[in-house]
Amino acid sequence: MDNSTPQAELHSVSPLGGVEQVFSNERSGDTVLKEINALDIVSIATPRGGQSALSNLLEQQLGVALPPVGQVNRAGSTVALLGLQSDQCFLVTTEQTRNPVQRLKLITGDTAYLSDQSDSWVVLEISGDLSHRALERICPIDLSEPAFTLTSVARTSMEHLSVIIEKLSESRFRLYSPRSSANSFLHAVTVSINNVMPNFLSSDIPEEL
Amino acid sequence: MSGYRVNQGLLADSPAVPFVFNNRPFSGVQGDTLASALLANGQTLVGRSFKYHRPRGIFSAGPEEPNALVELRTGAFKEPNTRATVVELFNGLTAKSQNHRGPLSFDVMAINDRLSPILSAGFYYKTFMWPKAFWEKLYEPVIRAAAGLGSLSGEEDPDSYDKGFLHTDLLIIGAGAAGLSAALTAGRAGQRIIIADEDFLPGGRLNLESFLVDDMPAAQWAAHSIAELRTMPHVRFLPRTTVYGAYDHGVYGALERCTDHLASSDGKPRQILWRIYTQQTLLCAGATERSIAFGDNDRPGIMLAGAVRAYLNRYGVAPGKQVAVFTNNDDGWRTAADLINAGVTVTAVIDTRSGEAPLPIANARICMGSEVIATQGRLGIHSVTLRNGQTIHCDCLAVSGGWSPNVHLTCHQRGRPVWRDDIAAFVPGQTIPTGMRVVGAANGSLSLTQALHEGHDAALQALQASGLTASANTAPKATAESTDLSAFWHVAGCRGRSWVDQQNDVTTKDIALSYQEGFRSVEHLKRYTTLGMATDQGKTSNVLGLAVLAKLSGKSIEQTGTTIFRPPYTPVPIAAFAGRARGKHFRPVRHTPSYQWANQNGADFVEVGMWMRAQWYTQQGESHWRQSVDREVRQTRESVGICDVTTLGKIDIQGADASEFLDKVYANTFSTLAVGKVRYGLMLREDGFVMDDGTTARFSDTHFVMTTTTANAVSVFRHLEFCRQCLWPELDVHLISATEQWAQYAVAGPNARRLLETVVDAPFDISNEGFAFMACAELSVCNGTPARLFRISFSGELAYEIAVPARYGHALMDALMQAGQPYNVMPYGTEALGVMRIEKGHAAGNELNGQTTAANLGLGRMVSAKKDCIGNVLSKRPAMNPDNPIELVGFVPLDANASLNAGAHFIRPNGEPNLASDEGWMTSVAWSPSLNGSIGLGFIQNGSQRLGETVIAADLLRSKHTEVKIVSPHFVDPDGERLRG
Repeated sequence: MDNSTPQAELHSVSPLGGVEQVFSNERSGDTVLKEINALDIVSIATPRGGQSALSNLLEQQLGVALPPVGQVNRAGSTVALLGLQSDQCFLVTTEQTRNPVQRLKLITGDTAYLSDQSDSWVVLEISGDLSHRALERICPIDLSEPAFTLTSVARTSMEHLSVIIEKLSESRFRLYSPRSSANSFLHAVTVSINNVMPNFLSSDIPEEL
Repeated sequence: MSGYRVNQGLLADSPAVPFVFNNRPFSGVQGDTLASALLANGQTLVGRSFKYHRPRGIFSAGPEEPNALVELRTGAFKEPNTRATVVELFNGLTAKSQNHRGPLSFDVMAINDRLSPILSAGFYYKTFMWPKAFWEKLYEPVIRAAAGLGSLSGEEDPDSYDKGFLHTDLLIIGAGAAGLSAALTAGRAGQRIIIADEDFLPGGRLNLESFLVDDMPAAQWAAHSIAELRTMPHVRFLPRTTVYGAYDHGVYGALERCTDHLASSDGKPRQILWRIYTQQTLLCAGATERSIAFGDNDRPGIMLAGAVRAYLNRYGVAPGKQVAVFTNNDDGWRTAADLINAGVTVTAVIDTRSGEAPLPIANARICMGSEVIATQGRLGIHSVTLRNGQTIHCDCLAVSGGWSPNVHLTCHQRGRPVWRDDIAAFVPGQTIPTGMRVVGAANGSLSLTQALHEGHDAALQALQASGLTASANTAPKATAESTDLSAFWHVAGCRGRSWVDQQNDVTTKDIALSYQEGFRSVEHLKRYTTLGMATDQGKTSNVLGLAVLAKLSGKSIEQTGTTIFRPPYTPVPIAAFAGRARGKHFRPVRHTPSYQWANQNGADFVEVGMWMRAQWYTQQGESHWRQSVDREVRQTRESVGICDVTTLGKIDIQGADASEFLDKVYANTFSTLAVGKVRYGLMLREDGFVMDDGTTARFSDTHFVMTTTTANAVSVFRHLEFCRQCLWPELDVHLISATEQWAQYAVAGPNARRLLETVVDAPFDISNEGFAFMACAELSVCNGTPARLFRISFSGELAYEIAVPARYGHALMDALMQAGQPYNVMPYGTEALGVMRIEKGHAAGNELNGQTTAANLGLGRMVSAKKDCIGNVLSKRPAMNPDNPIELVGFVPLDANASLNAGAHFIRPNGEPNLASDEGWMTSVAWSPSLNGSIGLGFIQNGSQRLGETVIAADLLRSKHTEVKIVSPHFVDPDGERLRG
């Protein structure tokens, strides 16, 4: 066995290389689309009958209780729990570590089943006055109040891709879509913005992003 | 040339708009349709009919137009069968008439009109029978060429299209009197509304009439209402938008025409296909006027009376200088009155009813209780003949046979309209889509006052249903009008043909013929005569046709019934349905984390589902894919190779009952699997056939990671979720896909361990003793990167699969290639992967085709008898366990130079290649660099008992018969010494 040869640390690559695009227009203002990389995402599954125990534990340790399906519980701007299905939520945090499951396991112990999802998703944020109109072109769910509030989260599909959508403000949305199809997803959102922008030529859309 | 601009109508001070029709320059004004502009220029003749090539003019002023179909625009932008009556005029518009050979005014195909006796309805079912071979080669092509509409450009559509999703509490379909009245009431109360109107100038009938609403001209009231609605943030106005279909659960389809009124789309989507989700709907779609059938009632210049009024009041265009009116109702008289008021000569008003004239029409001949029996004029009408023999000169005949409510959307979910004798029309029945109310003319309430009131009242009901309170307002008030009508359909005893459906050249005689030949149901009548088909879907002709059929059968129209209305209400381009899903954006593309690495290193990619996988890596000097693949196989078997296997499905399975769950979904047992070990698993479908295979690793008592084939990753996950949620909800099991999370690479070959030793972090022991065949572990690599390592082999070599979080995939590939330089490491693609698995005798997609059992695959013993599992019971059916089962074995050609083909079927030597002698088939073949020859895998009856026997691989598709010997499927290292080494 020879594992003494020094190896350089592996450098990480984000799904879209940290893309940020600003779609400026005099009539509609700026619409900004950017990739969010600095997030750890961990799937938390609740053991049968263990919902209360886990919820209490998370509230004590992280300041957020388990959310019902379709709701986001946030603790400040660093931690959010996204209720995605009856026995599963995502912990999304800006406090990154190399092994987020290991870290969270220190808190939850055997009260939860954890799975790292940090690399499973490309995360895009769209903001600006046109964001709602742009999402209308690809998002089948109703994003208006009161159907979709600032504490809402939903699993849906856009252009054949599964997407988790979260509303951060009236004109700012966060979109999670599978990493492997990140380019296709970026194209879908970019075309949507272009299509709702006044006087914006589609020839300005890069073919390969 | 008879039409002309009388005044400006609603288009006062509109700028001139030049356009081209049939290569001639014309001028209209902004706000015109192509039809109004053509009429204003005196262009009465605009096209030729479908079958008989009869001269045709503009018949209507809306989407119901059967005649005025044109080819719009040029080159790749050309669009045939466009209704001139809904085309918004724009600067530079180019249009051509269609369906004629030679000039429009002298179409040589008009000879068909002379041949009409042999071209009646269904003629092609009865004629052109001999000689038989001529039908496809001669008759049908000639008939199709002669009876055409427009022509396609044959080029790719250069426009872009989009789609979208809208949500609302109240959808109002139609912004006419009823729609606007409803929208004002609901909008003022704060209800979230979408109001869609297919016209570019919303207002519907309000823009066409000379009535007053709330003491102001109706069109002005409409404009004010729209302006107010536009100020309401909760109201979404969609002009140029047709709601074309009503679907389940409050979903409506709508087509918005965004740039059809512009010379260029300027990069924007031309049209948007909206899916509208609504709680409640008000259908305010209005009504469509219908004609009367009489002799030669299709000449250019014969129009619907309401259309004549629309051209006059909205566009300021008189379709003729001398207009006659033929009517069975009071509405036709309003056309005469408006014409007189505009200074247009009305030569006569012919009313089928007896009695007093409803309105005074100055200087016009009033013919009560009379009928038009014939018309004259080749390219345009110049006179009509009445029943009493009188001839009346006219260059336009305005005809009104009454109004048919636009009930179409009420029928899209199998609702049946009901007949109302008082208006001689179908109105919505009881079974209309849930949440829909029908208002105004669409509901058979034909007067303006009724429409405004019903719209208001329906909005109040909608508000109440939504829990909202209306603000204090009342329904708008309008000029009173009479809508009296006496049903009259067909002038009997005419010499000329009486046209019912002008778009399909269907006459009253065709309907009679259909009835005579036994096609008496309305649905049969439609198919036999084509009545009600094509772009107008019989909007002006359906009820007229039913009335004629009813009279023939001696039944009432109600008893006769109507054909069912289906979406779309008006034509929707296929391109709009496709939306953005065109070309390379037809579907998403999936890339593995090291896609860029592969791309930079000569990979040739193949689509595997949505994944792009490297199938081989071309090196300098290689000109054929086989050179690359052979090299990759040899190098892997001789030293070490790396293959990106990220695309395999990875399912994270956790829970106290996870092992029990796996025992139930896999044919073999997993509860006995030790932590830190991997086991090959075989999954059966409920019917006992093999569904998928893969390996599952156990990382703790409650944590497993299952791999699936790339192709079945989604279907297996869905299957497991079904099992978890529906079959055994009592189990504590939790699933999540980890396919995207991990970049995974197979490192295979005698030097695989040596290579990996350089990347795994201490103190992990990767020796054969410390990490034996079928072991798994969570560890770190390259100074701290979390990783998973599996000692499994698809190639048959000493092999591992190493996984790191996807963000490190590219870097790991770089690191492995760098670390492997001393061993001349090479990446290999899916082709080499395939070759090596065939050499090893591993089954893959070709063998797991949904028709094979575990026993067929030689894995029968894996179906545990000690436990139950999905598929266990049905796998024991006698038919699944015959005496002579097909079994997976290997094949080599007797001629060492021969190649093999997958798909060939096995027969005994000298046997006939047919179903009776078929003994199995070849599933996978490859040229094996290890054996230096062609090899194959396949299923053959009792294969394992017939090793060494020679059979014929009969490939009838390629006309190739090859003698092959049955051998063990394990061509390389049959005892597995390499992979355990």
